[in-house]
Formats: sequence, structure tokens, C-alpha cells
Amino acid sequence: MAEVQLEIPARVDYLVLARQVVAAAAAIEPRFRDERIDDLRIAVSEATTNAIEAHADLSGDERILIRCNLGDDHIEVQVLDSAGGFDPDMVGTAPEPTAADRLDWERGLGLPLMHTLADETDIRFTEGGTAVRLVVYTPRHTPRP
Amino acid sequence: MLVDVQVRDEGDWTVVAVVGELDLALAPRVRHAVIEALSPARARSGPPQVVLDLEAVHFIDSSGLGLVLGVLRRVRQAGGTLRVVVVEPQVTGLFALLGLDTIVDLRPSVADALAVPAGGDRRG
Repeated sequence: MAEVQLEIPARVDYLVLARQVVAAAAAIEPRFRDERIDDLRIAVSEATTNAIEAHADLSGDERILIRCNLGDDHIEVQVLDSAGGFDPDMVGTAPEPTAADRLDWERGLGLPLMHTLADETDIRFTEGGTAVRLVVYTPRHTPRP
Repeated sequence: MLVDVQVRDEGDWTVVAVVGELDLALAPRVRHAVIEALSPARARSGPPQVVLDLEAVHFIDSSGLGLVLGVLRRVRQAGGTLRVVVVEPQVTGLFALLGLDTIVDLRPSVADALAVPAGGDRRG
């Protein structure tokens, strides 16, 4: 299993780079279709966005580690920050699109997207930070809801 | 990477054209441009009619989708109309995945968005 690592400052202008590197790593495996790489790009963008936002109140010198492990039929991406962690259970669930208060929810879409687009999503938080693990297989393993 | 936000008038409509990847880095710039366009100093008479042109947006994530919902809320609160131009499959696909294509009036081109007067909307 090959590994690719990227360490970025916890700043929004590095989001594009994070997506590009992970997508390029996945594209090494020719069986990854563009649709699956798009799923991965979005999921990684959400995890990295959460990490950057978690660092927002800190000094700005913190860094985020993005680790890609390339398997025969999947890619596993870990997004690791040191911002003290957050509790995903505290993030509310956005209402259905037809609900009257749907437009009040500008936020809260990221976690559902990660869970929907990645075949496996695991979020661990400690006092030291948050570790998000995403796995995307070349063929989808879990049906979209 | 080219990133840009431009505001222009097209008849009764205000067109906010976005170039780039609509994520946490770009969304605040677009939000600022829309708020400026809707400000009393710049607003036209009558309810706002806004086209958010995302034709040159080739990637969107939840930060971008949240931005669109926020713009829609602001425009509706002012009694106006918002149409959003989306072309890129990744962008249209994400609206559909979350069911947001049922509440946001998506159009395939600016010309299409401007073709039907406000009030003849599918979703207003």
C-alpha cells in the first residue's frame, strides 16, 4: 500500500491544494472513475474545512496533516488536526429540503455529505484534536440514501 | 487558479458571476458581493431580481451550497427572485444529491435565467 502525505497550514487558501493532491493520488489507480474521485474530493474538502474552522480561533500557525493510503481497490484518507476536537453529535441535522426552515441552515451540510459520499467515515476526537478517516472504493460499497 | 466575483446589471436583473471553486475560501467573497448588490445604496426600485451565475464554478462543497441557501433566504426576505446558473455536473449533482434542486431555481445558462420575467418562476 503506497502512502502520500500532505501537510498544510490551517488556512482556507490551502483547501484547493488539499483537494488536488488527494484527487491526483486517487487517479493513480486507473479503476477510479471520475464520479468516485469527485465524491472523494468533496468528502476531503468537508473534512479539511472542518479542520480549518476548528483552528480559526487559534494562532494561525497550526497545520493539518492529510494522509492518503492507496490500496488496490480503495483509497483511505485521514485528515488530522490539533485543534482540540469537536463533537459531531452536537451538530444538528439539517431539515428536509421542503421544510419551512430549510433556508436557515447555511451550515451543517458537511458531515452528512461526508457520510453520504465516502463508503466509510470515521470521526475520532480527543483533547489533542480530531481525526477523520474516509475510505472510498473504486466501485461504491454503500448505496446512496 | 483563477478566482473572481463580478457584479453587473442585465435589464431588471443583477447578475453575480463567480469563477473558481466555491468553497470556504471563496464563499465569503460571493456573500459580500451579494450583500453589496442588495444594499439600499445600490438596490433598484422594487424587489431584487438576482442571477447567481455559477457557470464557471467547477467545484462546490457544503460551504458553497450554504452560501446559495443564504443568498436565497436574503432575496426571499426582500420579496425578490433568485435564479442560479449551474452547468458543471459535479455542481448540479450535489444540488440534486441533497434535494436542494427542489428549492433553488437552477438554470442551464444566464440567457435562460433572464428569459422568463420574475413572477413566472418555478420556485421564485
